[in-house]
Amino acid sequence: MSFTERYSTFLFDCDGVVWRGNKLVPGAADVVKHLLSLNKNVIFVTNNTSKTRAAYRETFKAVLDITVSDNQVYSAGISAALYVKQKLKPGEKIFLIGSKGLSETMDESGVEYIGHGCDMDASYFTDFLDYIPESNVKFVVGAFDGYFNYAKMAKAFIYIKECGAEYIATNLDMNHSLNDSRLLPGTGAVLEGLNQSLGMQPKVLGKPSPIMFDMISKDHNLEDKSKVLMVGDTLQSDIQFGINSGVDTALVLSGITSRDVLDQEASIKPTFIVNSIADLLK
Amino acid sequence: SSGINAEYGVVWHGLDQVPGASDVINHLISLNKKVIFVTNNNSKTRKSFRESVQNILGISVSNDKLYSSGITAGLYVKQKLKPGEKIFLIGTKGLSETMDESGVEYIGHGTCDMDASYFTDFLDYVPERNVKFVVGAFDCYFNYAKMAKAFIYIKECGAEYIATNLDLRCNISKTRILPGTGSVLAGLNQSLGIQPLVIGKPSTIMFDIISADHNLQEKSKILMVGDNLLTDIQFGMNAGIDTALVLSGVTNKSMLNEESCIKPTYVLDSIADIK
Repeated sequence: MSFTERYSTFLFDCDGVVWRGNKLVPGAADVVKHLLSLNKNVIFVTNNTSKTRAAYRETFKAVLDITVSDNQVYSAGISAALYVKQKLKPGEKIFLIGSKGLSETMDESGVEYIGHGCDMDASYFTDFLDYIPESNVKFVVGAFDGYFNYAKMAKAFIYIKECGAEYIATNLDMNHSLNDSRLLPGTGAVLEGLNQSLGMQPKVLGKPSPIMFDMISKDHNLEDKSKVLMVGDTLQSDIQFGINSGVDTALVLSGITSRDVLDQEASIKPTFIVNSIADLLK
Repeated sequence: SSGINAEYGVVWHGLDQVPGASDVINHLISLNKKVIFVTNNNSKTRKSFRESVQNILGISVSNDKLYSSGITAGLYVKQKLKPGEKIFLIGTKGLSETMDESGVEYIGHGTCDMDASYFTDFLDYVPERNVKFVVGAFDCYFNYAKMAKAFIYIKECGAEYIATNLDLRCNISKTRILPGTGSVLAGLNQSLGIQPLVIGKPSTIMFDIISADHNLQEKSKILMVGDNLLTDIQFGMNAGIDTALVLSGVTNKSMLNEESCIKPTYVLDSIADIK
């Protein structure tokens, strides 16, 4: 049975599957268009937090020459905005740790936030002796933030510990691999100090948590999980996400995972292994 | 013949001396005892530490009697750096001044490093040469750019990684707890998958350096006096010397009773009881 015969919903990770850095993966545009022409559900699921839904619409138009509707793109940032928006009452807000793109995503969803940007408020612990937190801060949302420093960490800590704000994060990847040539600390490293000092982990919205799948499932009324295929290039986030969501998975070797890594990683097993997204039409 | 005193809660509280502290210390000095101050605080240079001791206790001490985790980090790297070699410094202004005092050359220090806002900004980052250590301490301005650079110096350039302390939390007041130095450095440590060499108590690095500087040969003649079981008393135990816990600081009797593993040799109400 071919992939197109077997599955009616295709969930695609973006980086390493559809594009790699600035370059389209060969055949990606054809595959996506073909699936759409067969009336398949095509949904993009990424842990990226730097783009708004409007920016994704532009990217897909420019790169794949397709028009995507809002509910075809789920990023950890967009999902975080939807998640808090559902729960915030009028006048309530969040303490936001994240990039400019994430703050724009919050704007797009009508979520009010404080704390965002470069905070030069404090130079030592003692500056927080008399700090009075704002009221009505119901969530602390943690994501990659180049400017996350002690002042932000202390405030986030106070909102969670003293004010009872719910703590969610987009992802907790401890390392980020830059084009296979340089390893760096990841979002998880940015938030690790906050998590360790609190003695707790945030609720994670990004892959491999199945929270985005629950949102997608609801929005798209996905009743038959056996007809859903998750396609990604990372075992720990994409494939594990599929496993956690109870759907089949296809690992592509066009991204971050090579055959060697695959042989070493024995515990996370994809349903299929293909060279790239182009193989889905076979 | 040597007494090692911790600072806060033992000798002084904030800006006031613990009653009787200067009398005891003057008396010990008059008996030709070696009195050395050992603190985890890393915001003071030796010069400013000397000034505090003069202002609060009215006592004049020489530089070599003053050790803090910051001062000792400076001494530690200074011993090992060859001319032209330097460190990547994560820390306060006070710590950078301490490095200046020790003649240690550093890069990376300062307020928010605005060099990078995303991972990709590090694609072409070329690390400086001759950076032999990354020194981690409390730094309010430690952000991703600093973390990524420190990571690169350790992982790609093989710099040795040391830290003043790794306390996860800090009790700023009776009602407020905050993240501590350990929380500032936790992300760097976890992403590297390694822990730095810790200079501050209860690690014995400060004891090794003090021992060498002062030629302390008989451990049985050394007493460590402190108010904190986890740092001061544990430090003494790790160093193999006798300890005296004073109840004039962070530890009270009931905390002492609850603690089953860390046992001071002596328990005193305060430094004034040292006779």
